[in-house]
Amino acid sequence: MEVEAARLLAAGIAIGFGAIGSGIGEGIIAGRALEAMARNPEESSNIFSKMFVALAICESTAIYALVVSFIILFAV
Amino acid sequence: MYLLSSIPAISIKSATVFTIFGYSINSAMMGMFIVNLVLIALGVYMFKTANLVPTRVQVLFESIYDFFLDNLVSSFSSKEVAAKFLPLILTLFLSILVANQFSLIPLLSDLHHSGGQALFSVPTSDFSLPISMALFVVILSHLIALKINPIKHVSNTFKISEIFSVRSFGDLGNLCLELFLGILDIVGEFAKVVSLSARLFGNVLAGELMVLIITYIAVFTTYFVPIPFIFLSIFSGVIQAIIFPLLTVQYLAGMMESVKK
Repeated sequence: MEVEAARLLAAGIAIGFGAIGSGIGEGIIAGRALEAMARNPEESSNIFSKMFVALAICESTAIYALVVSFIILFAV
Repeated sequence: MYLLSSIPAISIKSATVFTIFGYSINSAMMGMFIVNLVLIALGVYMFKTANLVPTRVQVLFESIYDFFLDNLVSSFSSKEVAAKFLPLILTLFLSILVANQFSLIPLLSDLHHSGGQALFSVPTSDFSLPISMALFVVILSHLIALKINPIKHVSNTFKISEIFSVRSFGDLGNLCLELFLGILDIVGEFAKVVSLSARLFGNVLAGELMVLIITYIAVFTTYFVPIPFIFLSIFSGVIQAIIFPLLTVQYLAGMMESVKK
């Protein structure tokens, strides 16, 4: 296999596998947040803003995979 | 790239614009210069027009100030320490916020050098800015811990007090485990730097590249199709500008907790 083919494959696989965990994790966060909002509707805005912070931190592993994919595509 | 025609060259490093006295200035630095001008103009405007009856811009800035002050007071549980750290946190937030939205300023991205390179680019899309901010924050937390109580901080890092409390043979096994966890903690400090910087850099770079590729992919996707992706980029820029100072506060508060008497 030539280097160009391996580079394209590697970039695709890097972000493909990286986004799986982040998707599952964010779904769990949003599900629990909705459940908490249904049990306690007056704290809705508080729970919602804290959910966003947790969502951004959980997203970061997918972003690391994306950065590795960009490095493979453009800088190696 | 094979499929897209006439796309400008994509590179993760921003191009050098000119050199002064041997230092090369690249387009991200020029972009940060414009960000600084915007922030200074905003500061002067707020200073001149501050009033007891606030305008809408003043209400916005006061709510940002209150949000970060409440967060700091609840993390440090003392108003003086919170007031000491508030300028750093607000500076981080405002500069990252304006730097992430730099691509919204019209006309600046079209200015080109005589060599064909762009003169201004989004400051946080060059990896040197996020990693310098993250290094500064993590090293600051260690220096503050060293200043408050140096012996306790070194003992916490290298687990020296556990070595002196070995009383029996079973404790030796515990000691090996503690030393191993101590090494993992030290590696964790480097992981803090990399994760803090890669999160900010990755979000901004991904937004930029997505908009760029979609703009050039075909002639009918150039005009209205990138708009949802630009909204996504704006939104993620604001969220990342909030996350970076929040995590900074957590690191500083955690370090100060672990060396408290």
